[in-house]
Amino acid sequence: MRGVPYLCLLLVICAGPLLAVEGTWVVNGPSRVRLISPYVAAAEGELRLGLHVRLEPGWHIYWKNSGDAGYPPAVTLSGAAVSEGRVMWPAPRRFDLPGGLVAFGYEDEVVYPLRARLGGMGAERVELAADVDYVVCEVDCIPYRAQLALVQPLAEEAVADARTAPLLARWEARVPRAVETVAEVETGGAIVRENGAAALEVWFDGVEPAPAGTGLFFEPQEVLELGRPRARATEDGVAWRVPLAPLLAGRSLPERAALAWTATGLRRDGPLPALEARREVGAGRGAGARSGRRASGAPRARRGLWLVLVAGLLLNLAPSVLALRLAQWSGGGPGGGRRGATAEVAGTLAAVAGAAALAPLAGHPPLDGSWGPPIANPAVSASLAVLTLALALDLWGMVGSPLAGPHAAPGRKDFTLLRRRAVTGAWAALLALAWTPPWLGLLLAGSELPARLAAAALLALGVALPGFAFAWWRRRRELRAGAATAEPAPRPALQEALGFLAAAGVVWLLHLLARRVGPEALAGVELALLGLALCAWLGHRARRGGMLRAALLLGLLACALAAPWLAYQGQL
Amino acid sequence: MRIRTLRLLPFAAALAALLAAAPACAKGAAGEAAPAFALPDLAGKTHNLSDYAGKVVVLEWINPNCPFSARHAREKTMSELTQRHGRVVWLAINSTSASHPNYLEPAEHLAWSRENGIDYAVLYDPKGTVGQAYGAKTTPHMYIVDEQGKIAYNGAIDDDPSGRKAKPQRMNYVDLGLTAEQAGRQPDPAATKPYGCSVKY
Repeated sequence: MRGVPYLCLLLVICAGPLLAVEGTWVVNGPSRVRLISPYVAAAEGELRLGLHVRLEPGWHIYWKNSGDAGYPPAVTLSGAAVSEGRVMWPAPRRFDLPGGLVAFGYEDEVVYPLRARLGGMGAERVELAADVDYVVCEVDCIPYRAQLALVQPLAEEAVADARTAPLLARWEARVPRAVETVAEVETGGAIVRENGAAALEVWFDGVEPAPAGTGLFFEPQEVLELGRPRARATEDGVAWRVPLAPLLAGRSLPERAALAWTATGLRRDGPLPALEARREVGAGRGAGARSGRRASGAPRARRGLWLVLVAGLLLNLAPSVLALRLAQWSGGGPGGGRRGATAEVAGTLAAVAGAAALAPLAGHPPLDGSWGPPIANPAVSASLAVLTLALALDLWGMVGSPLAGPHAAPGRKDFTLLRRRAVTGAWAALLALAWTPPWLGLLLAGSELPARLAAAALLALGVALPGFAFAWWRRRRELRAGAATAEPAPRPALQEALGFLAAAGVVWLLHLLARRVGPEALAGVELALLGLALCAWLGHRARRGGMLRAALLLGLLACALAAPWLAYQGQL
Repeated sequence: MRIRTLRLLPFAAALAALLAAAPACAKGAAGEAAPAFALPDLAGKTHNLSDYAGKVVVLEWINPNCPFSARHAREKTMSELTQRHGRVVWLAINSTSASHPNYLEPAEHLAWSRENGIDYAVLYDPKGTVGQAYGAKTTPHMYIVDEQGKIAYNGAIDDDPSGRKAKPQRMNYVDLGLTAEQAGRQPDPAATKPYGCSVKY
């Protein structure tokens, strides 16, 4: 008799599949779909159902906003006494497609919760049917149609199904909750303008970002073209900045626009479910300026300004920048004393300011925490590769450069030297563009302009600080010696070795470029760089022949311009 | 100019290129000037958009391996429109990357076109530069370029992504747009959300 309860339990477990109200799987290529019900017996009133989809690995199916391709599943529920059927949409994930396209949806498995109204019963069961149009994509996109059926037993009181109810509940939990249902969490949005570029600023206050990252998804709308959201933590929560443009050219942005968004990856004393909101947004000042509790600018950036300085210092360790620095100091020192160091800082600042001013032209907000993103532009990457290769060639003695230090060390107060120091500072800043301190984006992304300017100045100062330190050290040495110390002898072997360090910077840039351009364009850029090096070497070898040298210079110039052009033409 | 100064030219050139690297932003929006292009067709003949200045041009992004393009080819959706709007220049553009499994050699595409009765020009853009310039997202993705060379319509071919409706019940946006163009009106709607496979850049 002691075994009876176990036997009963075993019977219940074995009988589970028989009791469960599940439709038959319909297999369509890489997808299987069926209807499920969480009830062994359903009661009159609201009816919960699920559209269960399983996909082969690599395939995805769509959210209510499918993104740039595909379309969301269309479900038509029917059956006697069934009405008001609608689909609910669990929070999706983002799929980045080739060509900068994007899709929103689900992979592997999803249950779309369905809601309907069941009424006017009197029968023991009801036959439910769902007509489903959907598309699944991997390399190909394939549209399918499935006609699903389910026989749902009925009762006075609903009885949950032990197997399907938890499955459906799990996916219902992923359906975004209205933000109004979560205490002390608020959301809003505003259309902001910065340097002529419009953006949508969306913020959630009273939350913090989950370590795994956040997501922001917009429901379909026909007013605005919305770009990729870029998140940042604010003092009050999380904010996203979304590039936007009117869908029709020549039309100005609307004064107000009704938008709906879903945010994922938020925390407040633990993980929060996906939150959704519908808001009418108009022109505003964005998350950084709207709150009286918050000072203008980027609080995180303000708190972490010393980190920005450290970031600037660390950029000197990037191979190409380090090669420049070591070459400066090994070949007679940078020279110019404190005035020289000041000139170098000025050059660095000027380059950073120039990059900030030009960033909007390349489609980036100025100094948007993005010391690195400008090199997402293939033409910029290729141009930086040319600059870095020029440094390597200079260190190998093949081209004359305007840089201070590697070769000549004129009188320390010579104006030419000061000018060279300024150019060196600018050069170092441009070389540093190819390297990104990991925390910089987090500190600065999307923060207000004054904070970004302050951070950029500190970053430039950090890049230039070794020059100051070296000048100070030399001055101390001179004071101790009671006279100007002799210039150390240039060390050609060391400088040539440093040329290889600079060349490592070229390899890094080509590695970055390989992700952004096609193989033919990459080969073209490499050939242009090789041609540039060849022209420089031949020019260096040519002892005479003005015409020949002029021709080689033209070739050099052509190669230097061809590299960014080829990269731009071949971008993916 | 001294040779020493000339040696700085590559540095200056690289800097100039660095400063000049500024791609355009908004792509293919209705009301924009249609980006110029010169692309070869399946026979190798180059078609410039400027060749068709003063005419209404329809651009159809196409990929024979995309079931959406294939369905419209089977249903003659585009071919019938070319006949209905006889004066319109109809160009299909295949921006599938040559490295993508969907890529067809021009001869294979030609065979597919003949099989489906497609007699308008199909242009090849395997680098995807023209597709990117127009912001083409799906196959099919349709554009109407008006007689002034401006994009008059950008979006889907019709309102029936799944192809469930009978053809007369579909709202064919390109048909509406071309009819409006011929009547001297702006297409309405001028922009819709295109549907289909993503362009295989």
